[in-house]
Amino acid sequence: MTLRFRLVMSALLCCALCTLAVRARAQPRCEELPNPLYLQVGDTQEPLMKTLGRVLRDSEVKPITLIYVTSGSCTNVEAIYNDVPITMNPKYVPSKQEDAAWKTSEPSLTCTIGEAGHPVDVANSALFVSACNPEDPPKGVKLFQGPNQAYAFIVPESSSERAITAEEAYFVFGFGAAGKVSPWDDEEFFSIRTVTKSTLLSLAAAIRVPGQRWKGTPFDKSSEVLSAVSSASEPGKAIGILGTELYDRSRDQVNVLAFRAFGQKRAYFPDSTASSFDKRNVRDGHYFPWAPTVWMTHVEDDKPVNPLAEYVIGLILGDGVEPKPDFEALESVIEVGLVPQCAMKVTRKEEGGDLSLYAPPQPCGCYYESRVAEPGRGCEECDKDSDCDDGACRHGFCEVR
Amino acid sequence: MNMHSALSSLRAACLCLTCFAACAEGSDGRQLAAADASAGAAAASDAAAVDSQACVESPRTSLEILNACTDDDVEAVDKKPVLPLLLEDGGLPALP
Repeated sequence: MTLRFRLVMSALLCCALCTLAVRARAQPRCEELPNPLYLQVGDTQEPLMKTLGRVLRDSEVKPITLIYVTSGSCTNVEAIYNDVPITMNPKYVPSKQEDAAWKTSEPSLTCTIGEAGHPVDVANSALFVSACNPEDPPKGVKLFQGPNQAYAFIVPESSSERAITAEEAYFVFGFGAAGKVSPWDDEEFFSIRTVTKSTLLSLAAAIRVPGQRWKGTPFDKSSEVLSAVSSASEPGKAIGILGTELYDRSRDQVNVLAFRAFGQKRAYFPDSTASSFDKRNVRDGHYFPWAPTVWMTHVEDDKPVNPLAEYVIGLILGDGVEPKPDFEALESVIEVGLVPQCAMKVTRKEEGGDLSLYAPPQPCGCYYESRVAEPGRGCEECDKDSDCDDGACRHGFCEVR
Repeated sequence: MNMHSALSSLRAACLCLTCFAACAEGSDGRQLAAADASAGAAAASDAAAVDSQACVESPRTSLEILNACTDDDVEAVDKKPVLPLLLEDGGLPALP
């Protein structure tokens, strides 16, 4: 072995050790992070955790670290109902001071959880909790209905399919190959989720095929569905399911199918067109498969036990919180593809249930539209209530109430 | 009967059918689901034959909301899938 070779090998070993040391140092203990709040959320909610997590970490009025793990909605419900602690190392996002260049498209960081794990402060179900557990929540756990999210059938970019009807989906996913629906007649190319996941359960309610009866390959993670559909060996036969906020980030890989519900005459995309991001058809009820995100926390006398949980849930719901944040929380919610209740024109009471007209008590439709497209007709900008002929100035726009 | 009045009559008939389907909805969710499934299948298979463009101006019920008129810039897709297992009355067979 020459001296030169030894020197090179030593240098390489040093580099490797240094890298390991830096990484080891870079993974802090979770409890050492500032103002930690522990959440267990659906993987469709990870974009919200990243976006809201970043602004909360950088907040000067109330910095909070969202420490989160992702799991199926029904698993999350059971975790908070039965006090199942988080035991795997969770994720969090860096502050600007820690990593100014970090973007929400990048992976989150990981912190080290204590040996005994940590109780869940806030759990999330991305569909009506009753679809997971029809019982009332246990005493001491309160449910808060948050922004809505849509679910969709997706196909590879090269697929020529543009729409699916509820009846088609009933035969495709309820019967598999025996359903004889062309081109989706080979279960090998159906990419679905496991039965604890909101994506499966919400779409199951929309097509009336119980989650346990779906044909196809069940994946644990949305990213696995995305990968399977986008890389299918026979793109024409491939179909999968995805939350639309994840689809919105993956439009270069897959296409969303317009959906025609039972009794509906035409099929619609979640957005007004296949290429827009306005969720107009979710908001007005033309697009059927959507559900509220539900946020759960421990309460005492109806008030959240953890004040950080109360604060963060208030931000997600668009409620007034104290201290007022130094960022627009509603913007984070809208940015990730969720539709705040204040921008909805319809509502429902159960998964896949009937739609009814809805007039939010403090509407934010104009602001919502300004963030996803152009403000609609009749939307006037304002600074204060007196700038508006009627209604109130909210988030910089005159709203009807 | 000219084309315009024929279309108007057709639209009125559609509206009546939609209203009838909506009025037939019960308070029992399961009953409603079954009724919807059957109505849905029938409406789906007949949609093209009736008038796929018909829409509801002032929706009130769930079915009317789904079929409410939209702005011109909203993209709707018409589809007539071939479903060999659909029952003769347009209903859905039980899952296997």
